[in-house]
Amino acid sequence: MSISLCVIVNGNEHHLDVAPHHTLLDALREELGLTGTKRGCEVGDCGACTVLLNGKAVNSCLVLAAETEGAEVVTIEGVAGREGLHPLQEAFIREGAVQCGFCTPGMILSALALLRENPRPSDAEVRQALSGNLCRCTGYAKIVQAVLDASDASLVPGFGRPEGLRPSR
Amino acid sequence: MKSFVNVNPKSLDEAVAVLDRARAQGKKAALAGGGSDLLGMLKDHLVQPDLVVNLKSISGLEGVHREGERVRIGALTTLDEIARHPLLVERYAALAQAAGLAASPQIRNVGTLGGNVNQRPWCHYFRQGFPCFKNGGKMCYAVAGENQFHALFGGGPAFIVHPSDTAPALVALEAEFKVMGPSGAKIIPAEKYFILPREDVLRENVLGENEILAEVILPAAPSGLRSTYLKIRDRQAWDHAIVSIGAALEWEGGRCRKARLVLGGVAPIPWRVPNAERLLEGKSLGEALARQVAEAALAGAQPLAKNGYKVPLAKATVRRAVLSLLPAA
Amino acid sequence: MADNQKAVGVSVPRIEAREKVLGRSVYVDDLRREGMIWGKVVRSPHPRARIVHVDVTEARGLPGVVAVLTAADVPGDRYVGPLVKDQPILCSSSVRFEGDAVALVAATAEEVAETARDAVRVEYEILEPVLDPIAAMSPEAPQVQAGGNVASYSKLRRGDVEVGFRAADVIVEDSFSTQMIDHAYLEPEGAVAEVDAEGKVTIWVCSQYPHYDRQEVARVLGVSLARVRVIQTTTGGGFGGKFGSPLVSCYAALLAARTGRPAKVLYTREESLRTTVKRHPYRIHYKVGATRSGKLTAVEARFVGDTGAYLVVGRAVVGKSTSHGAGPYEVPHVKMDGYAVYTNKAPAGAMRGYGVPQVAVAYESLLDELARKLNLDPIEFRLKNVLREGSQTATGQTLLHSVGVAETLERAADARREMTPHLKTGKPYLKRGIGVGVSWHGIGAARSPSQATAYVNLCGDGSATVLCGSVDIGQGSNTLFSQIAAEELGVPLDQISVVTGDTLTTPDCEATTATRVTYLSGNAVRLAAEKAKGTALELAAKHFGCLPEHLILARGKVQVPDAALEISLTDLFKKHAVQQISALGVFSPDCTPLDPETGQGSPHATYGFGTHVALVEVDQETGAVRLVDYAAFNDVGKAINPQAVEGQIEGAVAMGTGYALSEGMIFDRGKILNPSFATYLLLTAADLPPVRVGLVEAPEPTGPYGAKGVGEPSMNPVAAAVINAIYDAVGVRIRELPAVPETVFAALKTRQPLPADR
Repeated sequence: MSISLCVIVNGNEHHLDVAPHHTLLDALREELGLTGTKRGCEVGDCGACTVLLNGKAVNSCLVLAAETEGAEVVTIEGVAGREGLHPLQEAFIREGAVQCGFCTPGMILSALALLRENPRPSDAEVRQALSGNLCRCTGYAKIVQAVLDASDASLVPGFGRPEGLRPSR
Repeated sequence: MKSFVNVNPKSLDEAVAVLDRARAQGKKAALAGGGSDLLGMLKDHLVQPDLVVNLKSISGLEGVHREGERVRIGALTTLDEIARHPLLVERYAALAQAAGLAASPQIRNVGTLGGNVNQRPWCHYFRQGFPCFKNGGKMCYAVAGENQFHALFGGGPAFIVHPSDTAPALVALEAEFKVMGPSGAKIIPAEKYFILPREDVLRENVLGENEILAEVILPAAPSGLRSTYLKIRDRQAWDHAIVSIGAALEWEGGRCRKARLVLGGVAPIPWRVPNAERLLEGKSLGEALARQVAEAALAGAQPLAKNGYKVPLAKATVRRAVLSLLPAA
Repeated sequence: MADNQKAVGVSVPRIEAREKVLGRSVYVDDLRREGMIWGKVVRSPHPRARIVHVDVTEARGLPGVVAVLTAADVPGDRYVGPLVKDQPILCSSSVRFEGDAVALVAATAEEVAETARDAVRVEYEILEPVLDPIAAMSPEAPQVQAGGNVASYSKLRRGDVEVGFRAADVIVEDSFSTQMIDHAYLEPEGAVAEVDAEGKVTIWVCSQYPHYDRQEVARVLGVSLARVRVIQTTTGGGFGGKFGSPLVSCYAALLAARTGRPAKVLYTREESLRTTVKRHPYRIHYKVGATRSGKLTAVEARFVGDTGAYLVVGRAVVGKSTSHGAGPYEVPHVKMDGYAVYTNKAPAGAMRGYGVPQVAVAYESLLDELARKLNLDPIEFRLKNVLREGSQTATGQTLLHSVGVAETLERAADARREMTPHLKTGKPYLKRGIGVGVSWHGIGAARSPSQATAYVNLCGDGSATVLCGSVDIGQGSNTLFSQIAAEELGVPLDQISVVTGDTLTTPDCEATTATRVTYLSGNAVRLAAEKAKGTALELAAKHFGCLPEHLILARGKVQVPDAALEISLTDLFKKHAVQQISALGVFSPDCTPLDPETGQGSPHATYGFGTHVALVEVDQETGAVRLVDYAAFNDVGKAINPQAVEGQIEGAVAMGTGYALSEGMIFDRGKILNPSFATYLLLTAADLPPVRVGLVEAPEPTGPYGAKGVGEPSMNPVAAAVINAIYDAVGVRIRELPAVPETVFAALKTRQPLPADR
């Protein structure tokens, strides 16, 4: 038995037939070929499959596809605009926030949800907002920095790296 | 994951009817609010329902509503909404804090109050599918095994701890649960909602197979009410409490008029400690009394081989929680 | 790079970053092939059992199932392993750990394969598992492997420790144990295999060593290497775990070969945590002596590494502990005995640090204990003993160059001074302390010979292609290779293409492990590029009638700076009828193997060093430990890409802090209870403070531009620094990792009263 539904993904309407037990992650990857959303654990523990569902960051592995009728979904493939990369994406590249890249799509979407709601987050607020996204490569340092760099906070005078030692170059 | 039939009832009555019918037909039904815990359990093959009843298709189960001095919270209200709701943050801080400390940001965005309250245990043995009491088996593997996260109180035959963060807060705030069943709605005090394994080892609460938690009702917040939720955990996100406390104290003229202290992470249900509450009542609070309260709260704890560290940890948590609720001078 | 710009020493963004932030990089799970089938592995639920019977009838009969294989269906060799072929692809007679593979199923859909997996009936005779590594060493213990449970014994003898301890005024001695942890890369293991019309097998796999995967797949299929091609897909982290465990490639290849259809095998997170290689848990005993003036006289240690059911690289891991167990210090008398021991647990293998983080916790703890007994500052005490240029290591190797460890300690002293004002908490139950950890790591595997190979093809427009077998697993080596080639050939970075990780087109460069890629493969790329450039300059020298050393290659042109003359490579190549210049670079480090009796030798051409400083806060009432501030100083020789080096160090600090505080597989009678990221606790962004990184560059003359490496040297001191900080905060010595509240609280209970509150 499959369920027909209509879901808006990255601004495009898609009509899908999904099995009742298939998740939004399954639908995005298998039905729509949007493989930028990663399968890291499939039980909501790692955040690699994070997408925006009606503007909120969610683990797409813990949402049944059948329950997304009429919903708006944003995946990593929908973050960049026609004019180029999103400032968050630029910041991730510039700050060296990308290593293996497997957590990157989920990180960017969690960060995007944060910045839409809180354009000037503190270091602690960024860390809280990303606390459902695991990363094993970066220690989060450059990811947090990239999010701060992409935020309006970067426009505030005196904005900079956390106080401390500067790397010797 | 085994497939199932997805049911989208339009009303609670219809949902109850679906559950009733399933029961009559010998089919297993599962309720999905946000679905986070259910999907995790499905993927781990811990539950294999024939049908999944999607509560999100029912309108009116979401949101925080004032009703006179009381507050009604739909069971499908997300943890995130509760954590940020100004009224809850101001008057029922324990609940807002508990919701904000639960799970991870992504799970709080879909996870609901009802789901958090009804969450199944996170005992390693249960989640790993050991044939334990909670999985329908005949033993509690924690007793002779890895019991560092297990119960200090109320254990036996299973020694799980209740995993919910919001539940201790709701018991402390004297919330009531509105439960819908075949014979209509009934109101159950939060404290009476949770049951020990010795009453029914397969369940953590009174909810029957054809019943649905629809709403949580918070009583009027009396003047002088201060509440908080403290949580001790091994990491700062997506981790269940080693020990937690929902604490609500009412102050009048510098003295505690009434106290509700409910521990999380130490028992199969939110664990109220009346002896400790009584010590506070009628008194003004200082460091010495807070220590006595903490001692009283943990009196009678029965640690297993590896969870003794929770006793002093819980004492510290109790003491800090009550001291944090000192009335503004 | 512009003419006056350099590509080396510059924090260029990694070359694939754009693909990654767009979600376009193709990881193995993103591959789809027409007609692809899904494989699943039937695994033992028991840590030790005899297989009585395997019944595949029901599974075979399920609609959609296309193959069910058992050991008898393996056409070639049935055992794999990088050092010893002891791990069965599929077990036939017995299982040796919970998760050991018994059968392999494949179906047209992933879910059907899962159902078929669960439908394979295996009858076991359950046997008592061997779990404790010390007990396993007893001759009476049941044998995990036929050759006995002691898989390896490595020793080091330098001087005479009896003499050394007699010369000591103070001796400290203690035992430590460390836990089993997982690499926990975000991408689980997986492979896709396809057989072409000629019968050749191609495998796409996330891997640290595709050439090794090819060897094992060829053996298991019973075909020549020429019939197998392995292509590394974008790899979502490795840290040692995607090396030395070729099983997933073999499974995909077996299914594809058997069915003729493309086959995918992807491990679930649970499978990854439960069954793939782990970090060796250690039992450690150390004894260290020093004189009143603070000079180390002797170190004696015995450690047992639990290598689980199969050796993988256990012998080499314990060997690394032995050669590194005296720390980066001058110690005249050293005695080390290290054992790798089989037990009925998931096999331990390579993991970032490779036996050094374990012993670093022990020796750095005891160095702090000695410093306290001697009433010396921990950093000053270490500075009295630390290796310097001209020092001899415990293996008798004289280090002539690039020994920056003293500088890392001096920088650490400054960082500690800056942290000191933050020791106060304002709450009596919260205590803060600062700890220092020092460590080192030999660059490259401890054996000889070892080599790296690369080709550079220089084209007429000045652009070039680098071909190298060393794969990028997320750490950024492809970017490093392009920086090196761009630097040598004088072109912007985007004029360099890098091909790695395809066994058909790239030379076998050995694995991306052992902190070897920058030093070995970086050198190979540099040598190849230099040679290509040299050839071009020789052609140009003929053209101009001058000497090649007076010429410069930049932006596709050869220039004679003094005469303001130039010729484009295009014209030069045309003139000499050259299509492109191909050059081979080969680099072998200068090392000598360790003597098996004495452990003496020069196992590594050079070493990376680091001193880390941790500021922690301990809740005395709950035992909870929080990292408040952290400073890491690593001597990397030369940072070819400083931002990437910082990223390595920051990642190591998070991984090392998790090792110290939160991570660990929890076992019940040989079964892992926490094979999920909800219960195996990786630290989150909210658990960690910003990390300050300081790079020390003591150039290594034989390294590319002076570079050594940083992946493992940055990992090794972290847990030691955190554990020493806990002591500084609350006066208790944590002897058992991880320092979870339970452990810290137990230690606090036995504590002597602190002299005074801070």
